[in-house]
Amino acid sequence: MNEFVFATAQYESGDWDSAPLVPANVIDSIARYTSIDVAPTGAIVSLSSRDVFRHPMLYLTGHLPVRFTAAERENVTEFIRRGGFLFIDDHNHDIDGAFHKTVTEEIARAVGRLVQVPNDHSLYRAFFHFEDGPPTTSHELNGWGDNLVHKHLQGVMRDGRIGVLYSNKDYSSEWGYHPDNKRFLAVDNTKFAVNVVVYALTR
Amino acid sequence: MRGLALVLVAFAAWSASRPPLERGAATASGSALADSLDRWTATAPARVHLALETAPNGARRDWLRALRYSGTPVAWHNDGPGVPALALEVAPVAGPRGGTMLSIAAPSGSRVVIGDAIAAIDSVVAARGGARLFAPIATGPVTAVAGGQRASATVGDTLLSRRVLVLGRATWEAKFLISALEEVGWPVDARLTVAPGVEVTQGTSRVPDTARHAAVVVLDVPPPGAAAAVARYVRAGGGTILAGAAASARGLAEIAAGRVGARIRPSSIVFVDDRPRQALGFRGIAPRGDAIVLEEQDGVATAAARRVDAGRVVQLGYDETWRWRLAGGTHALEAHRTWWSALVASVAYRAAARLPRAVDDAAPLAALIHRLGPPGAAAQVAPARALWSPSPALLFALVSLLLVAELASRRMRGAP
Repeated sequence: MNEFVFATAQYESGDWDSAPLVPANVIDSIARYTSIDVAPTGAIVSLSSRDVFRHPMLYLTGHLPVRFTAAERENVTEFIRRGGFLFIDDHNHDIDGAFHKTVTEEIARAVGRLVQVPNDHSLYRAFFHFEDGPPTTSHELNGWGDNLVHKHLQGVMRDGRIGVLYSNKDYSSEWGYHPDNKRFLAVDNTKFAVNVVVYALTR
Repeated sequence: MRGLALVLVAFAAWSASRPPLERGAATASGSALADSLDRWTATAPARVHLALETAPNGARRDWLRALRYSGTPVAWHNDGPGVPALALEVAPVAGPRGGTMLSIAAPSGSRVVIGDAIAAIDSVVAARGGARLFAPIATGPVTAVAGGQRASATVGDTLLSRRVLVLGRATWEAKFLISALEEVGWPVDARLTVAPGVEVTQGTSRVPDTARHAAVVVLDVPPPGAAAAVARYVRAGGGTILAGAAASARGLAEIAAGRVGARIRPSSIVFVDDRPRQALGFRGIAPRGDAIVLEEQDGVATAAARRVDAGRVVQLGYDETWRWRLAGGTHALEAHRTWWSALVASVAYRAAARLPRAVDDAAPLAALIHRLGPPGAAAQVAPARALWSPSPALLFALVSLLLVAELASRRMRGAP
């Protein structure tokens, strides 16, 4: 009971399942670094179903244009109003890609406009400390996408808390590998995922 | 003997100069009481009997009591339907939104009109002997009127604002509890464990302290040191809510309202607005002998409360109320935070700043019975405090006896 379940949002349009290895990797990091009770496997939740309200944190990603159905939009609105936390990552890591344009429009319609999350926000100190804000991904400067380092994340604030956290840094690619391969990294690049989860659980 | 006789004659002369006592019994109704009291004070009747529809006000009750203590028996009986059994208590609500809770005792079915110094607040029909009413704002004395009887009371203290401390692990329950309390207006301190030796904290005060905290909510088994601190806080007058398995923790089990039982699945999978917690799993509570069961499902206690020394403890079987907030019906968000806020307010440490009280008449009938006894009972006569007042015949006999005794003494001694 009361265990954390990493839930991936499934939506009608686009490619919601573009980062299938991310949940396992994030779950591994939660179990590795924290004492949070975490379910060993993630869940896939249809954004148009009432199951959305069984998982207070949802992860949404993709490459393709996103258009919410009416039911999806209604659920997202209500989910955020009730205190849920939606983490959206642009799998394209570009400024003006199709996913970015459409999903930010949808979020604006469902919840409100995204604003810049300051780099000294408590999100960056929720567990590990990231003095410079969101950690850079290796995919931001690899020749794909816009070749820019996105210095800030964005969010929709609700009562002083982040309700929607939006990243176009492509953490979905950065964390999309088998957890066993962490041992080959000098620095575990999923640490920021721990911060996102701890923030969602405590703020 | 002669001197003693002279003293008695002087006493008789002084007694004769006093106004004569009214020897007949006097009766009066409540409406004529004011005039009657003046008259009875100047000329005391042999006894007083009152026919009352409503209780006299405090000053007149005291006046009647004084009459009784000056030697006039006073009794009363109900006139018509009788004096309504009305009582009123007003108490500040220990929550961030403040307000006043009005508790009214009145005959079942009677309509009670509530007002304050400015205007009428509301009216209620008493059920099962009373009613409770929340008034966000009440200015000056609060009055309750039922059947012509008026009771009044004022708030005797104002509660100082305190913070709520939440102890537990990083769970959805902790997150949504903190959100709910903050949305209502409670300032919240928190210590949430996320890893061994690592806590996410909020606020500056992390140790339970009656000077800072209105209540402590413990959501999981806390570290041993923290449990002992919570127990000390409660014994010193603080209030705590022990949710889920927290009540089984060493150091907290002694103060808990009951023993934590097995986890029971919810009886429904759908949240219904009027019984939302039926869709929540819980740990059953086996309450202690001195605990009060606040809520139960299918005969199993889900919430219980008890006093521990100067403090209060509420034990909850629920440990996933966040599901209610997130997946409940249309009003779940407001209902969840209101429920939690009320729970916290119910145990909140009440550090009071006393206010000067106005002259209250919170329970007129009870005060009347306290002063004059129950209706229809024979009037009790207080011990007479008046001076000895013998009859003139007795005085004459005593004086004559003394003079005869003196004459006889002189004769026997051969004195002239």
